[in-house]
This record gives sequence, structure tokens and C-alpha cells, in this order.
Amino acid sequence: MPAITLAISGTRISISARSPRLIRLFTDYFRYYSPSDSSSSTPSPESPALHLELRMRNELPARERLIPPTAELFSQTGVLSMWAEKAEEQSAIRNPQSVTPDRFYFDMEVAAFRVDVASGQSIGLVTPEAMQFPHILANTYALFALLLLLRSRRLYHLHAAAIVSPANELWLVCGAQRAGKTTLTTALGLAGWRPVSDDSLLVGKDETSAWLTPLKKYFHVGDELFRRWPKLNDAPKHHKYLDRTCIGGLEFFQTRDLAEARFRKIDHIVLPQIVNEPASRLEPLARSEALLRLAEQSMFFQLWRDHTAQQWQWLNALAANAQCHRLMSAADWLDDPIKAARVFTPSKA
Amino acid sequence: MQMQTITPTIVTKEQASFTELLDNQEGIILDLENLHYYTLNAAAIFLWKQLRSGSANSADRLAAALAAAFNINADLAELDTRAFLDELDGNGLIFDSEDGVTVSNKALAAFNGELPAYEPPQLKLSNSLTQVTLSGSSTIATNAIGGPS
Repeated sequence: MPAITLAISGTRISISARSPRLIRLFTDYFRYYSPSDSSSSTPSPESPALHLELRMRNELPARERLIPPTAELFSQTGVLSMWAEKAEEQSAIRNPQSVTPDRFYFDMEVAAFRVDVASGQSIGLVTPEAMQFPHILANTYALFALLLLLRSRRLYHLHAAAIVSPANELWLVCGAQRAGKTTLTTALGLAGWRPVSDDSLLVGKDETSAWLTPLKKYFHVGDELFRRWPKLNDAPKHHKYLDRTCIGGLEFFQTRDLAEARFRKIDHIVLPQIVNEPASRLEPLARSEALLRLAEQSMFFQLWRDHTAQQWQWLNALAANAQCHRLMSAADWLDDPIKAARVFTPSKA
Repeated sequence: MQMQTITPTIVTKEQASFTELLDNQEGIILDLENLHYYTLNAAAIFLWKQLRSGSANSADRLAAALAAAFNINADLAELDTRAFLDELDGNGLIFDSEDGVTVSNKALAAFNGELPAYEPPQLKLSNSLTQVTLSGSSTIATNAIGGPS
């Protein structure tokens, strides 16, 4: 079967699909990880630890066929639902003597995924409706399954933007969707800062310390920003979906090399809050609240308590000396990002 | 024959992960069992560290330590300490142990630096981590799309 192989922070992943369109989609989505064609590869000691197989289906099976009755609804956000099947329930069905790990099911109405954590395998069923928004298929549906598998391998997701300041400090911008992460990241990039991610990071640990690195992908920029900031039109544009355009942010801001880094401390954490005021301003933020928001924005933070404990410990270590701010974010970012960026460096204003 | 009474030792919950964020002024407990998230002020941090380190494991000893550390009168210290212990107990963060078994982290015993002005110990709870949310950069967009018609 056609397949690609790539490595994210040392964890090898293969993605296979009969559909050439799906292979092209994921080759493009993971372009910063230089995926290689592995269709004809034979298994080796370096075989990928994680596998994602995608299968096209004209329509999804009925939910009762898709989700076993022993699985429990675990989370529901909009059209996204996630079920978990506990080890005992699986083993009771298959083999009472066996100890089987958790299995998860995602149903997104237009696509569905089953994730077997122990084997590191996920199978995704993809309908033509899902292919109408291919970037969402890759960036949300399939990514959920992959992030779950990566978590089981101690690579933890953090939903935050990361930008390196002119003073070489790492700033994280944290917040839920539509909090302004990408706008702020792009604005700071135009102001001479070096953005390495507009919304996703991975947290891990090696023999030296805990680290944090960008999950390298396109930046998803709101279309209005291209009108506001004409210079942004020089960025390589790749896809468009709804009111967003995917741009090669790492190329545009010349941060591809920097995005390979493992950052070992967070210098600043920013929580943006959009306000109707003439100028943006910073307020101090309790570090306890900043850490809470980071944990809230970590996908699957609640899954597997030993991982939760580990992730919490690493996050605390990374943010041990971080300064935390609430950014009351005004329209001045749209009017003049270079000027607005001075809110972060008042002494140089 | 004289009966020997055993004073129960107050023990902190093992799954309560404590982080001190700013020296003596801001702390967090993440209860890894239920993912309740607590923010502590200076006096609360002081008492928790006394408990966790095994330095003081009874209400009387805790109150005495609090009074000495913050230079407050003994009655106020006792009142506030007992109220705080009730709150910890109500949240399942401590329990009484008669066999003296305790989670003890001696490293927490040291209390360096200056303490801020006294305010009664506070434990502020957030439940926002208890729910799994599926967040991703395109989640809003998927909601906008809805499912197949």
C-alpha cells in the first residue's frame, strides 16, 4: 500500500492509504518533516513506532457499528466525539485472561478513527465530505489520532504559539481558538520577531531536561490580515479553507532552522484578551493562572494519570522562571503591528 | 491501668502534586486523582509545606508554626489553621492517620526568604481541567461545517 514515513521529535510515524490524494495531502501537511515514500520498505528494527492507515469510504458505518457498546463517551466538542474503551471491557470480550490497553474512537461525522494505543496503530475512515476540507482532515481529524498516539509515547501537545523575541527570549501565546494567537504571532513576525509556531507545540524530555519544540506546520492566517498587512501577501500561500489561508510561515519569517530547536525554558507566557480600547496594554498575570491555561490547552492532558503527572512536571520545569502577562489586545495590532509590538518591550519604545 | 491516647497524624494526599511558583507567595496543588487545581496563598503554602514535610502534623503544631512565622497572635493562628484544615479535608487533600504513615517531603521543610503580610490561608479551586476538551486549530471550523447533510 502507498505510504509515507516521517519522524516527529524522534518518533517514527508511517501513514498509509490507497488513495493517492490522501498520500499527497499528508505528504504536504507534514512537509516540514520531510516525509519519504515508504511504500516498498520492508520492516526493519527502525520500523515506525506509530502507524496511521487511512481508508476512503463513501459513507461511514452507522455509529453502533463504528463504536462498540462497551466504549464510553469520553468527550464531545461540536461535531467531534471521542469514546474510550477500557482495558477490562475489551479483554472481557476478546480474552478474559489478556491485559489489553485502552482503545479510543473518534467520530467526526465525516470521518472516524480508531486508535489502538499499545500497538501504536490508528485506522481512519474518510468520506468524500471530509475531503471537501482536506486541510481540516489533516490538521484536526487525523491530528487528534496522532497526538493521542504521540502522548502514549510521552510527547505531549501544547496548544500555544511560540515566538522568539529580538532579545532571544521564548514567548508563548496561549489561548483557545480565536483568542488571537495567529494574529499576534504574525504581527510579531512582521515586527521583526521570529515565530516558530502559530498554534501547536510538543513537550518532551531528554537526558538533559524537559524541552518544548514547535509542531511544524503551515500558519493558518485569517484572510482579513492579508488586506491589513499587504507585506503578508509575499508569504507562500498553500491552501485556503473557510476564512483562512495556510501560509509557509516558517519560510516567510525565515525560521525553519529555529523551528528545529528544543527550547529548554519558557521566558514569557502571554494570554491575549481582545478589548475595545485604543491601544494594547499588558497586565501582570498570576503564574498559577498561566499554568492552568497551558494545561487546559494541552490536548488529552487528562489522559493517563502517569502522563498527566509527567507532563505537569515538565511544564512546571519549563515555566519555572517565566514572566506571565495578560495582553489586553486592541486594534492597534491590525493598524501597525511594529508599533503595537512595543507593548512587549516598553523600555525600547 | 492508664489508657494511652493516640493523636492522629494529619497526612496529605499522595496524589496532590504541589508546586511553589514564587517564593512563599503563590503555590499550586494539582490533585492527580481528580484533576482539581488549587491555588494557594502564602499562609496556605506555609501550612501545606509544614504538613507535607512532616514538620507539623497536628492542628496545634501547625497553628503554633503559623503564629511564629507570620508573627500573629495564637488565637487567630489557631482559628485560621483549623478553618484551613477543614477546607483541605473537605476537598480530600488531607486525612487522619493513626499509624503515623505520612507522605513526607523533607525538602519542603525549609522556608527561606521573607514572608508577605499575613492574610488567612486560602485555597482556591478550579475544575476546568476535569473535562477533556478536543481543541485544535481547526475545531471551530469543523463546527462551522457541521456534519454531512
